Amino acid sequence: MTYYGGSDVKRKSKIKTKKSAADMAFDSVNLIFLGLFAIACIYPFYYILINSVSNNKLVELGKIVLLPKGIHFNNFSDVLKIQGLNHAVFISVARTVVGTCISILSCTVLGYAMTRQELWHRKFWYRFMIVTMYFGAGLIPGYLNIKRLGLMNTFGVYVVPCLIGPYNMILVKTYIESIPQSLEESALMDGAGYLTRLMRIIVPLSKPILATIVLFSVVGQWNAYMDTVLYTSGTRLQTLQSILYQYLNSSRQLAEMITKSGMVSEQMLMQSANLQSARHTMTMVTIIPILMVYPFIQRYYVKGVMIGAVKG
Amino acid sequence: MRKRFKKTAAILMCAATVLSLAACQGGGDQGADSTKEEGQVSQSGTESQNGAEDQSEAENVSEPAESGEITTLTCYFQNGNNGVERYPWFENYLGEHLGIFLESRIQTTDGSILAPMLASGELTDIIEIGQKVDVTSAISGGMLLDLEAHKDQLPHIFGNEKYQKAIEYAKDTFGGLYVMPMVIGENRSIVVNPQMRWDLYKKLGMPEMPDMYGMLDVLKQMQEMEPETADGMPVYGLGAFNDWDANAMMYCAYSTYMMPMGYVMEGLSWLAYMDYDGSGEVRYLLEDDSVYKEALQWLYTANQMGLLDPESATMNYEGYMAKAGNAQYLSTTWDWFSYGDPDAKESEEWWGHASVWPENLRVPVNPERPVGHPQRFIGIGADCADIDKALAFLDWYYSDEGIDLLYNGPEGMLWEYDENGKKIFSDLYYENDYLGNAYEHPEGGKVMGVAEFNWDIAVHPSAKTENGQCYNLTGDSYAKVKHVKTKLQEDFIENNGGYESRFERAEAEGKNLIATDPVLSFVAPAPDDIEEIRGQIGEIVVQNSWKMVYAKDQAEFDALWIQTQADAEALGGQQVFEDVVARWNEAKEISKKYLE
Repeated sequence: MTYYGGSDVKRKSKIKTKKSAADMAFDSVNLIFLGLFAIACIYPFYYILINSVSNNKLVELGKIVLLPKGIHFNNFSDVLKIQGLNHAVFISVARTVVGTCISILSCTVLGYAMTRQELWHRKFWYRFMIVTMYFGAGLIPGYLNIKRLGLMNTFGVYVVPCLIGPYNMILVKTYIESIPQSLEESALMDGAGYLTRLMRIIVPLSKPILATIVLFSVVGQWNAYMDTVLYTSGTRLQTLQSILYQYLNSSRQLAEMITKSGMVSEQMLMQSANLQSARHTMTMVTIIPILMVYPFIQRYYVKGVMIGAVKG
Repeated sequence: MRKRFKKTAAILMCAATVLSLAACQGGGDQGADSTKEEGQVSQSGTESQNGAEDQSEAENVSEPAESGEITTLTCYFQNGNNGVERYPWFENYLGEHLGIFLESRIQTTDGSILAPMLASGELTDIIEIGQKVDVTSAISGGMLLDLEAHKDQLPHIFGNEKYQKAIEYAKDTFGGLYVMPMVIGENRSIVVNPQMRWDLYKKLGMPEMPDMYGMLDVLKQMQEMEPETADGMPVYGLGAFNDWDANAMMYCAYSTYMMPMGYVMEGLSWLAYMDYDGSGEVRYLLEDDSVYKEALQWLYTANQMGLLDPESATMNYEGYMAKAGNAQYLSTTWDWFSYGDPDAKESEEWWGHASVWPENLRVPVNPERPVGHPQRFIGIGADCADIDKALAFLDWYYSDEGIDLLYNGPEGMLWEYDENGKKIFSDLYYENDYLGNAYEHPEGGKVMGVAEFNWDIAVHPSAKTENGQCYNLTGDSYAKVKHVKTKLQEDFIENNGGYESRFERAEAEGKNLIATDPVLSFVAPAPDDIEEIRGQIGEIVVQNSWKMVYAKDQAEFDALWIQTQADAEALGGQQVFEDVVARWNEAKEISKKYLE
């Protein structure tokens, strides 16, 4: 063990690199720019939060901008009394959990398969899936497809269409390709089959990328609402986001009715009052779960995406 | 250890596979979704597995529900806002009396559900469609039930004299009775009802207002009397908002000036206008002496006088409602804003708003629609498994009993019969300061206004029943016999010739009203290419209209108008106008048969 003179060590630890004026200027601008950007990202959430707990009248007048006023939590208690909310929460959680688990499983298996050179027409199948990232069939073909698959008004409509995400599959495939082949080869020599190699070697080493696609999948499943609107009826499969959609949609519906038919119904117009507070509160209720989960898995996000992109 | 892991993994994968397959179970007769207390629920065949190509139809068609069974019917109301599920008491009522459970699709503003349904060839069991072109598509695809073939099951429709012209019109328009028009018949209500601060108006000595500019002078005096609200917010003469700007113009210019002056634009592509009663010619919106330009000039003047809310250009309707509700506007175009202290409960003197009209107004009265609203049709999907139940619902929907329940709720709750056999509001209605229409039924959901799940139903709220009362009791003066008038209302009635509303007085005096020409209901929609041009012109008109209202001087105002005219002309404004005139003339010919 090499011994360094204590005074030398202390001297070295006290030496600080002197920054040039240019470096300081750059750091300052960087700080300001990123600070503003951070505020721009955080402020919308903050705005919704303070409006959901402030005096409703001031909220309707648009007077709650920086600080809450007249703080109360009646809006939350009112929202929690919305009929069917508990069931909607259950459906949202169920689709998030089940959809994510099945999606992860499917993407992992498919991503691994795509790394196998011996896969029959591997390049064709790979490109076949990539093309779907660039071209969408559209609303009506998608609807017809779901209908023909018998998924209308079933829980499967939340799970099956999201089974394979090409982007997630690419991430997994690229990451697996970065794992040294020698690990698999040694297992292969010991008689391990595909499934064994996948589950005992590949998956344990792929935790960062799997956590990344878990995050993508959870956020996607939690925020989805259009599938509820298009493919379900009644409240049996209603999700939290679809309830929020109906609240947010009401004033736009009103405007559409006026401009398209010119028919004004006093009931519609009177009902439009006092919806701002309800919207803010509903929005908070729907984003709080994601805000609670995200910090725990976000550390895998950047690492996972970049690892999937950078080889060697 | 290895074996246990393999076994666990295999079991989990099997479970996942089974779950996916089980979740894929379609509708039809496989697996009832919910069970009701009264009986077994059977799904209708709407969500059938396939296009009936590979599976026999018998598998997907459930047996018609016997008495005691409750059948689930899917429904889609294009113009509603709340699902039927928000009214559990109403659902229970339907289950008990009609043996049905309505399961509604979420409404969207852009028809994004209707288009896929039409493409798939299968509509919901009960469906409301707005556009005639969509109805035609549905009929040509065999997706709607022929109602005339089931005439004997629709006695309230075919046996009711007031629906006959609507039936005839639907048959002529669509080649058969596949849909029923809605909002049929009488609609005795006014489109707008200008309001002002009554207490301030009285303090000024109730000055005469010969015209809309006279109204601005009075508003200015009121603003000087009360420049701020009690909580320090600025008070303006009037406000505007931008989210109702139609495809061609600034909506507030229309609603605040043109409508009360008796000019209509609905049904005329929003780039033309005419007198509400059809007495004059159809005129181009952007002509030199256009009333639309007068409306913008009036708003410009209001802004120059400091009467127009400067935030109007970026404000939406909800913001407008909030400010009006906060008494920041001395005048509004509609009468449902409730603010003030009309009984002086919290202030020394009563204050609030009431109807005050300039002398030269011609407030339009909604038209009678003998053939129904041109954009409201309701029908039954051809693939409905339980047609009998669907027909029973449709028949009930058009019956007096059904309309009554949808508007007023069940008897004995918020209304009751008096000794004369007429309906009056009960004591329960008058609790909570006359907000009885927000009363929640013990079984859940609002009692009054269940019709909100589909904004307008078979008849308009103001249509009269056989005993002369309005279908919707909130608009019926007899029903409010126990209503204790506020001090403001009493004062208003005293100064309004003894009439409770300005509308009643105008009817009695025979002035300040203009009837709406029912021919407007017969104007066909514009073709797509004209709509395309209209949309392009509309963007320019809307944008420049707001600039004109907030112009710094008359020179800028005039320059913007000339620019707007030139841009519209370059895009094909005259072509749109000529199309409107042609469709109007066509509507006049078609309507002759139904309006005699």
